[in-house]
Amino acid sequence: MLILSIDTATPVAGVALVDDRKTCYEALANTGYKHSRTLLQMIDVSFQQTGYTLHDVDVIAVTIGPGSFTGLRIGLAAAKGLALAAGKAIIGIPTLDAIAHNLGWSRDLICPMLNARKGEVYTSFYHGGTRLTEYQALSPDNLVKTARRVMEQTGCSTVTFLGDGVNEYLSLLQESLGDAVVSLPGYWLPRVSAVGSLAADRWRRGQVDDVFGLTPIYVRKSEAEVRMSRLEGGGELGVNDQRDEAQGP
Amino acid sequence: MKEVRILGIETSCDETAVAVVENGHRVLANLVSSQIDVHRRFGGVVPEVASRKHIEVIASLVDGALKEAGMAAQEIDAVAVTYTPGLIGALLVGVSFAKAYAYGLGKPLIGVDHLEAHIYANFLTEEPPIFPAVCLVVSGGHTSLLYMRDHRCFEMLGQTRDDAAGEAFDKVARFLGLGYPGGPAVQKAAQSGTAGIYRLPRVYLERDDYEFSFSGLKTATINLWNKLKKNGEEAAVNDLAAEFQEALVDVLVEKTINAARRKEVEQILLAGGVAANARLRERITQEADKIGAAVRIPPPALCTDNAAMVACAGYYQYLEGDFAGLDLNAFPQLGLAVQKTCG
Ligand SMILES: [Zn+2]
Repeated sequence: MLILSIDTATPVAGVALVDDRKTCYEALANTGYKHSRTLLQMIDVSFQQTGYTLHDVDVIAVTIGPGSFTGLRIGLAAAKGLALAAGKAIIGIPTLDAIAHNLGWSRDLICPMLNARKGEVYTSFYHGGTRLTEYQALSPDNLVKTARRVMEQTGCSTVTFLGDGVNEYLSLLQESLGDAVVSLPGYWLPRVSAVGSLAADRWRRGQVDDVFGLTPIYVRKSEAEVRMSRLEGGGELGVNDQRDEAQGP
Repeated sequence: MKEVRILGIETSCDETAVAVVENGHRVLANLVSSQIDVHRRFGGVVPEVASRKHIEVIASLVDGALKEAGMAAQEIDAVAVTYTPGLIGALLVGVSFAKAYAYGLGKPLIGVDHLEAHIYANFLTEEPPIFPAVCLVVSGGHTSLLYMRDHRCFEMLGQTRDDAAGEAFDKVARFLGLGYPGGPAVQKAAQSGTAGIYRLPRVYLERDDYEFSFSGLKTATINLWNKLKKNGEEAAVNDLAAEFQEALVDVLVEKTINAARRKEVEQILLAGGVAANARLRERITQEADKIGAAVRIPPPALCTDNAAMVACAGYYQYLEGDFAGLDLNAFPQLGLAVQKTCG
């Protein structure tokens, strides 16, 4: 069983070919938002390098968020195009699940955090392979509060933080949480092979997604919708204005 | 000759559209998923909301278009997609999907300029237009006057310096509380009003060129309305709508007729959503008649954004072997890709 996995949710673009449990090919381009130009070329190279063709692939796996709105849609649109054209199954994998899976062996609390701009990170907490909290956009203050609560709940004394949000917020976290903060810089990058291996688990359980119905997990509403609901009197807590649409490809 | 079937994909603004066109003129399927109702509550197109709708419906539309055309995906000869100009996030959904879809089918990919596609809506017929022609593209995003010498050979004569004609319709309609989208709303109000009761400027009409400007007309309309209200006068919104429409149409018609006369063309091609405006159709047909030119206007469904026009423009690129690579990207403004040197 061969899985082509795609990830364009963050500034890192990734393409992997995962054959059952073995990663045959993985390429990461940490070059910022150039995914629209590069993604299909990266996929093409993955086939050239391995000798596989799209025909050999059973499943197209793709990260569906949270992450950059535009980046998510580039990846998902490409995955849908490939799946529909070649008659392949599609499986969407939440971005944070894939990053946490990098540390699947750990017994610690794991907290992937992705830069969400506007002073927030997209985040969720994991323990023993289980997700404990919703996918959400949190300010560093609320992240610290949530970390304390989850540590108490699980009896863990440390949290391992991963993802590109760590760059920006590590010292802030250390100020509040002290020695409880563990960061493993080698595991910060989202690894698209993890997307493939999570998709392989779901494939074995027969859990494929619908190519027509699959949509991104945005976590946030669009800025215009937020403003509209404020105007209409429905106050939105924890949802910030965001001009993701201003971001280039 | 073998039939050539192009799958067209359009996501540059607020319509997700997919079509299959055979040999550049036979429309086998033409599906449009309109977002008008989604954007109505915002009073205009919201880019992020538009992009979210595109990704939700694009795969179903492609599937639906093929079913309607009674074809398997493999029977398509190429995939054509709008890559410029438009809302960047919206364009990227179509471009990313189309690239992967063409790659997955092993078929050529064609990047189409949306403006060129609007003009090619005039070619979706058994009797194609005669070259050379003058083309007026008027929509929510464009006001452009072009000289078309041959297939894919255009000379840009003039464009709007600020608002597009359709944009002016939208803004004035919103201000006057006539509804959304503005074009049909203003037209409806104007039908029960009279132009000339109020007086609005014909901006740039005095200039002997092909440039347009509608921002000033919009502002003049708003200012006049405010003044009437302030003076406590009984202001008739329908009369003001009629005068606004007439002022806008006057400029479009006169400049287009001037171009047609000087370029000595037999045909004038209208395109874009505003080409559906009844007053514009009526006036330009009358005036063209006086100089012995014929006006061609696509049916309303092909004037507004659709993918049949994209597939049609794509067909002529296909014939020239003008294909895109896997690195095709989307561009919000390309400064008119169609303005190329003609052979
Ligand atoms: Zn258009």
